[in-house]
Amino acid sequence: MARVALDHLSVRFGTVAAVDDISIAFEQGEFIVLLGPSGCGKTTTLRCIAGLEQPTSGQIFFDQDEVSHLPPRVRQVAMVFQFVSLYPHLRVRDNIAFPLRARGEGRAEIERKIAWMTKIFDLGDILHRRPGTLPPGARQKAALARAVVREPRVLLLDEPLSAIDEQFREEMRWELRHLQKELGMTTVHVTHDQREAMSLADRVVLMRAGKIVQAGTPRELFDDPVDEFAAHFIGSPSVNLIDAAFTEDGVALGEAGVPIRLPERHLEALRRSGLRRGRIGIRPHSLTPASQGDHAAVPVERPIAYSVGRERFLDFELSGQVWRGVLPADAGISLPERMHLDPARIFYFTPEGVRLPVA
Amino acid sequence: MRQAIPASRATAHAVPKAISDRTICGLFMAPALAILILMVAYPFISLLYYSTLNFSILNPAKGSEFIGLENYTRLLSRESVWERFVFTGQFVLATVVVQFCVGVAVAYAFQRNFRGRDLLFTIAMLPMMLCPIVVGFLWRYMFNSEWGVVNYLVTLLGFVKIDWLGVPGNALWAVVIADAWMWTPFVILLATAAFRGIPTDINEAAEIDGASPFFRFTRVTLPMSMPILLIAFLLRLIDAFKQSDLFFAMTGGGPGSDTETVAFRLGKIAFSHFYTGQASAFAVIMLVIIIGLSLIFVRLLTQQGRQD
Repeated sequence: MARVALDHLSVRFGTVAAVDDISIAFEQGEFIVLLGPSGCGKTTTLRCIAGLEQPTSGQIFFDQDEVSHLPPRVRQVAMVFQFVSLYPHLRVRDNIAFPLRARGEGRAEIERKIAWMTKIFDLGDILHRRPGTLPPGARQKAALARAVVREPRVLLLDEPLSAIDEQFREEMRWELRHLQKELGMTTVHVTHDQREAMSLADRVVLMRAGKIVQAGTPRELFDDPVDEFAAHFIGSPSVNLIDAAFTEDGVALGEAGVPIRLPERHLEALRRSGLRRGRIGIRPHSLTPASQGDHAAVPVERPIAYSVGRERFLDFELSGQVWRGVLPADAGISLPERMHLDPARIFYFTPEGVRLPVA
Repeated sequence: MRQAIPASRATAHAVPKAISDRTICGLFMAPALAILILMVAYPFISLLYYSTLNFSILNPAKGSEFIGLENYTRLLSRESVWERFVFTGQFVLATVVVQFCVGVAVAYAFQRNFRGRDLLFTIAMLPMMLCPIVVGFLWRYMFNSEWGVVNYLVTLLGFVKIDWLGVPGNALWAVVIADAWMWTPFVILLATAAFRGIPTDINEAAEIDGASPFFRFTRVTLPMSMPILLIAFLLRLIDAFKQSDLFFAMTGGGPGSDTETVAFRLGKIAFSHFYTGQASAFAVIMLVIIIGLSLIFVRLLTQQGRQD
């Protein structure tokens, strides 16, 4: 297992920079998730680490070894692809044995490792079947076994769970996480699904347009997004956003200018920015029914309340936008007329979407 | 008039019911069936029939005499006929092996991206599109022992001139070269199609799994291309077995009749000697061999299919 470092890595296809000068290091044994919308460069970054893509500039290190331009087969990485990558003409056991045979390992050693994988992934039933006869979930399990069996320096996962149905995906996530911890594999996982990222990662690397927007623990990304994009991309249900005017004693939301009174240290931060206008964001879970005389509350218009499992949500209109808040599980039928914004949880953004720090 | 209208309606409804689906099916298939019977079934049955007769089409007035399987026994007891089968077997084996070794290798080389690849590929396909008899004469002149370009190259390399077409052993290889030149493109074409059918992910997975190019070729590329390559192999095998044009143009079957293939001999019996009955029996024997070969390959293909 290796520490992986990317140093000013860029990949250009023609004039398009798919990966644009990124530098980051993944520690040994860390579970990294590269997250972002499609076309953000996460898969290209992964393919660079694998050696399937050549960096235009910059370097890639596994521990002390520079591997930037080495061919994939000498990098000792393993990869699981989104769709078919098992060899269709080989039985599952021969698929697992493939990387070992390619390396010229002995028969006894191969048998021992197949037995090991069979135990870990519970492959007993499918060991002698061909990939074409297996459901997608079992196929990915076998693909994962083939990747892990060679004890790679880095395990690369390219949306391996996206083609699997929801229920089995949850199970696979759990298994993947256990396995990764047990074997201490440095793992780089690519996904566009923020829930998957949050549930798997030690550290999430959020990317956009070939650049890293933010890298941190799932908690950090959720609680402390660096900009509006990060705030919007992470969290489900997603953050409520609205244009705001920064006033003497708070903010005025939307065209209607709904006034919100803010604590002094927030006002100070806003004054320091020198801005008159910007945007604010607040996550639905920080938007709760307001009590009488609340100065940090917004009116509820055209409300719809609904439950998702044990959680109750309230969707309502604020200045032409749909906002979402939460209701206590034991709330009665009558809906609140105003919803309270937890000031400590408000994100302030410049009109360009950069987060304004509040000390 | 008033009563005529409902009456015509009634018939309009009745007509489709009068013809059942089966009949319509039959009617649609009838033209194709008629052509098939006329072009395949009738000739085949008459072939079987003539193969049991002592009959020459040059002398129909003499009539035909039913002699049972005598045509077959007479053919198969003749050593010169067996020699033709052995010679044809040698030719088929040599030419198909050469075509596949060269064809698969070239197709694999064409997998890589290089400048002018598509143009080169198109040029490589050309020999296959020529008329076999033309190819035969081209190579006959190139193999001419006195002034042919092949012997010119041989002397350039410092060897003595070779009598390519006058010695049976040499002539076999000369025709193998000509046949392989003409038909290797077909193998290239099908092998290329087979290789391109392998998903990129599979090749990338193999590369990441640490497979060397050779390991990848033998363990992934070839096995995954097998169904198409098997079909190409069968087609080339049958075609090579039927080869006679190239021998006709290059050696005329000579010296003596040493370079006559089975098909060549069949042509001679049928259209030089006009032993129509015997030629029919000979054709039936060839047909049985070809069908036998095909069955082996169909079996192999279905086995492959079952594995997936």
